[in-house]
Amino acid sequence: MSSEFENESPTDADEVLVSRAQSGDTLAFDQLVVRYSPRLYGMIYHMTSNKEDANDLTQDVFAKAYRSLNRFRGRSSFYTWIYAIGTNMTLNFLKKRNRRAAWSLDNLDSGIQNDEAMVDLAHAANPRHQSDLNELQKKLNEAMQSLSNAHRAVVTMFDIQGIPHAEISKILKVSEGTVRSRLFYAHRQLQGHLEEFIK
Amino acid sequence: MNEPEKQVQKLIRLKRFEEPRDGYFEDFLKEFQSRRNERETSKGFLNSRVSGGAGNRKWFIGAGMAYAALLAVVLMWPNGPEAKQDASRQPIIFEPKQPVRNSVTSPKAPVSIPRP
Repeated sequence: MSSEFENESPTDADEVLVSRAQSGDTLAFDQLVVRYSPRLYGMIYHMTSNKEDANDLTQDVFAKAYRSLNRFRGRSSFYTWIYAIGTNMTLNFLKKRNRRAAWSLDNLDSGIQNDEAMVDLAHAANPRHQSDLNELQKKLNEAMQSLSNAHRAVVTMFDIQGIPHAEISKILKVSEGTVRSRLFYAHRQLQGHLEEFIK
Repeated sequence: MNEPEKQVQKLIRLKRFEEPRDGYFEDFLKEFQSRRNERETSKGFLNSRVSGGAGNRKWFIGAGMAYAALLAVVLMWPNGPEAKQDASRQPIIFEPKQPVRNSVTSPKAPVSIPRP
C-alpha cells in the first residue's frame, strides 16, 4: 500500500471515508479505491474477459464515482453503489462492444493447484481431466462468454465473487427471484459447455 | 442444488485464480491519481478563464465600467425631438463659407467647361 496511507486507519468505515471524500479529502477517496478496486476489477474482468478493457473500465468507474460522490446520499452502502455503477457501465460497454473484442486473460494464480475443484480434476481417471491449466482456463472462458451479459453478471457476482443474492438484487435493481432464476438458467447452460469436466 | 450444478459452480469458482500481475493495484491507484490530477488541472484552468482570478476580475470590472460609460453617453446625446426644442442643446452645424463646385448639395450652380 502507498506510503500516503501511513496516517490512515485501515479500519476506517466506508461511511467515514465517504464523508471525508465528500468534503474534498482525496486521500480518503484513494483509500476507497484501494479497498474496492480488486473486487470491481474482478467483476469487470470476468464480465469482459479482457484485462485491458477491465483496467480502463475500472478506472472510468472510479472516476465517475469520484465526480458523483456528492450525489451519494448513503441510502445504500458505498459498496453497493459503486458496484451498481460498475455493472451498468460494463453492461453498456458490452452492448457496444458486441462480439468484436478478443480475449486478453490474466494469468492463473498458483493457488489454483490447491483448490478443491482443481484437485478433483487432477485425480479424475479421465485423461481429459489432466488437461493443462490453460486449456481449462480457455474452456471456462468460452463457457462464461456463451452466457448472455445479464446471466454472466449474476454468475460472476454469485459464483466467482461470493456476493449474496440479496446484495446482487440491490446492485442490479431486480428481485431476488430474478437473480435466482438467472443463476439457475446460467448453470444449466454452463453444464452443457463444461460436460467433459463434470463426473 | 443438484450435483452437476454444484460441480459447475466449483469449476466456475476456479476463475477466482485469474489474477492480475503483482503490483497491479498499486499501479492502478497511481494511474487513477494521475488521471484525477489531469482532470482537476484542466477544470481549474477552465474555471480561471471563466470566473477569473484577481487579475482577470479587474479586467472584467474595467470593461463593464467602460461599457456603462459608453451607454450613458449614447443615451444622453441630444438627438431626439426634445433636444430640437431646446436651442441651447442644439448640435453645432458647420456650413461651408464658399459654394462647392459640382457639389451634390448645389445642383443649380453653373458649370464652366474650359475651352482649349
